[in-house]
Order: sequence, then C-alpha cells, then structure tokens
Amino acid sequence: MVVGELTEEVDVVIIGGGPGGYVAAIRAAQLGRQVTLIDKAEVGGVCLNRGCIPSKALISAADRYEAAHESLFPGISTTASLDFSEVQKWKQSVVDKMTGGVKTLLKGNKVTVISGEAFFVKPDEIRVMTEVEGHNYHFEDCIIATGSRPIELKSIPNSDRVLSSTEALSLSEVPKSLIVIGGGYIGIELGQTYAKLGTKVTIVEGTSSILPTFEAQLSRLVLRNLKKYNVDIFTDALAQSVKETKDDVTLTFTVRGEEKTVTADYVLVTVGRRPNTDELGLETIGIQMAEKGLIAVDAQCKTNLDHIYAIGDIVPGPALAHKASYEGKVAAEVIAGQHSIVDYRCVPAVVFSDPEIAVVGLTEEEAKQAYKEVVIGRFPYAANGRATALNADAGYVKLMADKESGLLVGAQVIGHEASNLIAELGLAIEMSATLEDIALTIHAHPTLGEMVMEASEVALGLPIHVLVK
Amino acid sequence: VAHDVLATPGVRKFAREQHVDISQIHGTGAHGKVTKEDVATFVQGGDHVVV
Repeated sequence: MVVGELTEEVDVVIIGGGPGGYVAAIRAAQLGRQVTLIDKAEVGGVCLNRGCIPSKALISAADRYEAAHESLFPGISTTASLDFSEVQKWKQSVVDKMTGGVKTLLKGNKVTVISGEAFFVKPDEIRVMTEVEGHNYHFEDCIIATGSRPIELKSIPNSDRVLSSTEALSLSEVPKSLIVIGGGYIGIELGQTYAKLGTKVTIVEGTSSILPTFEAQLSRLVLRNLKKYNVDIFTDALAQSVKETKDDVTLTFTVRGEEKTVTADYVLVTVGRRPNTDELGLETIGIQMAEKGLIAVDAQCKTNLDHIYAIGDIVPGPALAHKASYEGKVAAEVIAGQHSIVDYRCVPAVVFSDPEIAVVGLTEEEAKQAYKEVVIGRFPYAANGRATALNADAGYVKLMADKESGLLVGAQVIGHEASNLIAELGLAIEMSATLEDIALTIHAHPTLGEMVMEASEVALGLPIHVLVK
Repeated sequence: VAHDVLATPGVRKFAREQHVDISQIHGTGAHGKVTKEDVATFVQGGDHVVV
C-alpha cells in the first residue's frame, strides 16, 4: 500500500454478490444501513451466472426438445430440430434478465456496487483491487459471502476438453459424447440434460451409487431414466488420468481394481465445490476457521470478530442458494440491531433430474433414530388423477412422522414437479404440523398436491385412493 | 430436531424479539405447541430468561 493513500469510510461492506450477498445487501439497506457491495465479477454470483439459473434453462430446453423430438405422448407424433447456439443465446438472455433484475434491486435500495477483488488488510479495513487500481475501505460491519468454486482434480486438471460445470453450461454445440466424473446432483443434472440433447454420456462415480447423498430408493427412478437415454454408469469407479488429443479426450479409471478407458469429446468434472476463503487475507486478521476451509460462525452468522459475519457456501451447512439467502437476511438483521438467529427446522434440497427429487427434513433412517416409533405414508403418482392425465405417473410422495404425536418430521418427493410439491411439506415441518393437519386441509382436485394429503392419510391408515394391505 | 420446541417460525421470532428462550415456555397448543399467547403470558410473568 502506498503511504498516505486515502482510505474511504464506509458503513457495511458485503464481499460477494451471490444469493447470500445481494440479499444481505438489500435487507441491510432496507433496515437503514449504508451498504457497499463488492463483487469481482458480476452480481448474482454463481447461482445466477454459472449455476442454478443457466442450468435450469438448459434443462428446460432439453425437456422441450425431448418432448418435441421423440413424442412421449400417445397419439402425438412430432419431428424437431435443434439449434443449440439459439438455445445458448436464449439461456444467456435468461441470465441477463435475472442479473439485470438484481442490479435494479440493488440500485433501488441505494446499494453501492463496486467491481473488484477484496481482501482484508486490517480487521476493519479491506483493499479492493479493480482492473486498474487498488483502493482501501474502512468499514463498520462486514459480511463475507464469497461462495464456492468447482473442485479441480489434481490428476485431471481443467483444459479445453476437461471442463467444470461453468464451461459445460456454455458449450457452443452439443457434444457427441461426454464423460461426467462425479454423479452428484450437478453431474446428474448436466449429464441427463446433454443425454436428452443427443450426447452419448458416461457417468463415473466414486461411491456405490449415483446421487450418493440421497437414499437409494430415490435415485432408482433417475437411474432407470438415465438408462433409457443409453447413459453408461460406472459406480465404485476412480478416475485416474486423461489423455487429450486434438479431437477428443480419453479417461482412464478403475472399477474395483479393474482398469477401463472411455473416449469422448469432453470430460466434465463435478466432484464437489470448495469454499472461496483462501485469498481473502482471513489469516491476517485472525478469523477462526471450521473444518475444510469453512469459516466458523455462531447462530447469528457472526465470526470470532464481532463485526465480521460470514454466510453461504463458506460456512458449514448445505451449499444451497436458499440457505445462503436465509443467512444473508439473518446477518443483515443482526448488524441492523435485530435479534435474528439462524432458526430453521429444515432446508429443502432439490435435484432437477428427470424425474425430479425433492427432500426436506429427516430421512427415514434419521427419523427412526430420532423417534421411538416412526410412521410412514407413501403415495404413488400412479394413483393420482392429475399425474396420470399428465402422462407423468412415475414417482411417489413419502412422509415420515413421529407416531406418538403425528408430527411430520421429514418428506421426500420423486416425480414430476417434485421441486414445487416440496414447499408445502417444508412449511408443514416449520409449522409443527401433524399428519392430521395435512390430511384435514382440503387440497384442490385434480392436482399433484393431493398426493401430499393422501400420503398423510396413508400414514394415518385411512387412505381413500389406495388400498391398505 | 427431535426435542426442538414446537412453535411456528413467527412465534419463534416473536419470542426472540421478547428476549425469551422459547424452550423455557410451557406450550398450551396441540402436542405442547408454544403459541404467541404463551410467549406473551411468559413475558408478563416477569421471570423471563434473557437470550
């Protein structure tokens, strides 16, 4: 730093403009603080620019193409053509619209947005490097929301043919073949999308099943669907190395000791994400870390320095956009003097696979550990009129409740629109609702939502539309 | 989760704003659910726990 350089005084500094950071900025501004938001790239963060939104846009396009190309509907025949560069243009317009919206919201809330890379030089001062210069800011409170980035494999570094999710979302043409290393939700979503667009996809997963963080029962329907698209799946498989040529890339991997090779246009590495906490100068100011590069925080998202908060993918908990946004509001409210804390019973998690998977609360196993007796209600899509009329009757709704009190403690939905159906179940858990509360709520007919009511009745032993064995 | 206090998110927030530890409150709702009234009664009782 140049001696005598000016340091600007600011009130609240937020580092990172993702779903945690920009929400925190807006809430802090709503509550009367003067907010400066710093982001090294563009507001909206990973979610809007390189994650949730572009991936869902491509998934929609792939679904439309599939439906148009290969009619899955009795009595309807179609032919379709695909112009992927137009799809990419449209996807980018979706991203631009959403980030433009965030910019408007920040401006409307009088948040100052600075483009640059920030790091701490003192516990109450950051230096922001823009492309041309550096500038220091002395702040009252700070919220760190720097997010995460894809993990790169040491033995298989990124290249023109070895991609992270970011590049895989922006391919200019549909690859003829693609190898996906890592069968988690990102790998499955992208792998399935390209499979629908006509790519020959191979999935290489290290554990014994795809979507390893979900129960086997849930991944089974997705697995069946992937096979329909001729996706090759290797589990218990360890990626070893790649060999690139001008035109393709060959992956060598081992499956229980046996060596195999697959050649494809591209390899996509989706083995996880790491927190962006390594280039912030956190050690210079003595921020206490938790495990794996995550920042230790209390229930108010406060670090060990009481004017510095951390939220989102850089703190423990599920790395989900909605969890980051929730924490952003908590941190902003705390710095505005409110008594907010992280106080949720559950966070829903959704996989936009085909069929969709959505879970909230405890799994069956967790519920059985937590409660003396657990009652389960499972209702199949095939017994629901709306699902059948949609020609989408694969899947089920499964509820877990404490038998003694009837309290709903967990729910899982797999099937069409599972991502939307899970909202009611999350609310039910937060409201401490019982199976009876849900069963006595009139659900519109014919809708997929009725399955939630019916699954409750199954758990209570009195279902109308399925026979109790 | 198993032994968490039964209360809706709004009631939990109300308790926080009143500076009371909701786990100290006897709930009078179904299955011992703590209601907003329970929180208010507890606060009026004076012996509240500061969070």
